Amino acid sequence: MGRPVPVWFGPEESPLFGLFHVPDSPTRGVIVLCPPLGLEYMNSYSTFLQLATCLTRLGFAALRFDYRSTGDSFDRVADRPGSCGFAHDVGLAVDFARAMEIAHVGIVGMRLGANFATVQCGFEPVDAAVLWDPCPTGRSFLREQRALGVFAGARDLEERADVVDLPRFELSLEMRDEIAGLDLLAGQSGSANPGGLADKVLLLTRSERVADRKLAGPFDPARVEHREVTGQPDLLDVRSPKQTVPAQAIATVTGWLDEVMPRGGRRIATPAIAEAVVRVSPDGPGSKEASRDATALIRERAVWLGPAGLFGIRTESDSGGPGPACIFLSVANDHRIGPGRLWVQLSRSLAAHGFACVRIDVNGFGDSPARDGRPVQEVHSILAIDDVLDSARAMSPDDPSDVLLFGLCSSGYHVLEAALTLLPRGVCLVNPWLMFQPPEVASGGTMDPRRRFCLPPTALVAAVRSRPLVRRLRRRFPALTSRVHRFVRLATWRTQGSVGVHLNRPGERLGNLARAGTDVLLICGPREISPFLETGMKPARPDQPEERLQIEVIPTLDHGLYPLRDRERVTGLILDHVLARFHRGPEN
Amino acid sequence: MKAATEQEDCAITEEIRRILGEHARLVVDVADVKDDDDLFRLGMTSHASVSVMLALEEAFGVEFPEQMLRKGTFESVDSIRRTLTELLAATTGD
Repeated sequence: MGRPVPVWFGPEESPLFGLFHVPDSPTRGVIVLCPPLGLEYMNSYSTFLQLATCLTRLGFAALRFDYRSTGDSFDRVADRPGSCGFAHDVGLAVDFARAMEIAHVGIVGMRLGANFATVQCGFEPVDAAVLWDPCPTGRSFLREQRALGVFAGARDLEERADVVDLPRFELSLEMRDEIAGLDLLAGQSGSANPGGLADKVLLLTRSERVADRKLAGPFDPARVEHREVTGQPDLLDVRSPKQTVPAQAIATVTGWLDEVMPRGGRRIATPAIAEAVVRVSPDGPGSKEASRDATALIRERAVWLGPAGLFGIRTESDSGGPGPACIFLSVANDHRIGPGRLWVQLSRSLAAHGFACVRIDVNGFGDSPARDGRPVQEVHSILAIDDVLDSARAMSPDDPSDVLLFGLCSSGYHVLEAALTLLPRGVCLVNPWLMFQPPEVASGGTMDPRRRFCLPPTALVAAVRSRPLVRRLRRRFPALTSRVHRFVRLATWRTQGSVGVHLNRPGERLGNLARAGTDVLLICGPREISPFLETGMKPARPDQPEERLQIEVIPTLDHGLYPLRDRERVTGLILDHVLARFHRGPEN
Repeated sequence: MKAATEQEDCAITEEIRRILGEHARLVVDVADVKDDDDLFRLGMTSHASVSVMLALEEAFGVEFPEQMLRKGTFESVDSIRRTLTELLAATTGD
């Protein structure tokens, strides 16, 4: 099975991005995979990849794609609302599938993806459709997401008039209205009409939600098969990186399609849509009113970097300047787009200012393969340091240090470790997380010597924390035990340091990195800054080389940047910093 | 009359506890949870609290209005019961 083919399709001014999986055997049909939105989209990314892979083994081609203003697709153009709906985007994906000149097309949609597919298929029926855990109504989805934002403590107290702020994604008012209008039970176009949706329909509802059984009601029982599946709570109702791919549900979907879709077929020519060329505003998607003179043409294309074949999207402009290449690393087990598409927006803005950018999937995540012999999905893998180094060599072969590295949480940590070897031009770190147990230690080994920023829990602390009494106390008095833990941690580090026991001191090392010539921008909340402050980081002084170290501590910053206000703040800080320090455009 | 109300309260509490057991993903057995224990401190995540909210709405045939979508509403068995009692009273016009 070869690599999926990156494709862009749809309108020129805002193309959709997709990955097209083609089987080695003759193709019996093309299956369009419609993902959910928001956090559910992020959590289900690996599931859709595995689903596509399984489908190709059965002789299907499969198209994974992102709706406009989501994932790697380009943003909706504000002044053309009529042609921009999510359901319209499903239609564009179906058009792409039909252009392969394969007689049979199927569709699989999860959550809102199922609702969008239902609306679109009402206009253009397909051979078979799988509605996987659809939302009863769009309104119920919006309510759940709003509640999630509130319970996560990440929602602004005041509503914004121009945008709907949901955890790690935002919707324009137009998008919100489109979603709010969805109602599966009301029998929208085609959903309940025999022949309107598809020749055959599989409706999968959660076994945990009895109320969802009523979703089968509006459909013609002769055409619709209703089954219950497990696994959705562990896939969608957990915070990344705790999601689990629902293998049994994938087998249900692929088995059903294998059964109902015709056999036979023919080989299809792999489409060659090598890149997208789009006019964007350097100030990002919030500035749609910018005049044409204030926009820039940028190109995006897929790349596979280094010996590991790391997947990434490269973004650059034709009028690119000689500034350092910008490398954005995927976060935890998410794929390359960053929280709330932070990396997508930053790479497009910086490309419009002349920087060559790439956002990559760390090995074993997103669309990057795991490095040989290593388990897939190891968030703090030591090999991710090699990913950073390989990406730098690929993006700047003459001088791999002529790069800017961007990371958040786990990838912020990996950037730090790689920076000690690479001494890059600059690093931008958002909430780097240093206090974790490395996988090699968890599996009984010793910590890899290349980990020079990691602060794992000491054996004493780990032993104490595992005591049943302590566990009970932590549950009953979390604030108090957290303070005690911090005190014990500090005392342990100081004692170890004073008796000469080896201890990583990330605060000192960060200062050393800046003194060695790497420009450092560190943006974090109080929790993330503390290990640096507690291990020797000194405040910057303008007359010293430490001026290369800019630290921005934001008291309310959410670790995963759930709220829009946090993403906007971080975007502004990074753009201002990079343009001030590294921009070599014509106006400089 | 008072006995009937107490009986209703008990039934509501029992149903809340059943739902918490199924959806809250607490780190302790729900039988060990006191009515005023902070559920978030006992391991209920933001995602789990949304599942609890949906299950409560389904079980009691109510919808938590926007102004009740607060962390405080779902932080203990007591607070959930108080809110549900209020919602049910509004529904039945008591």
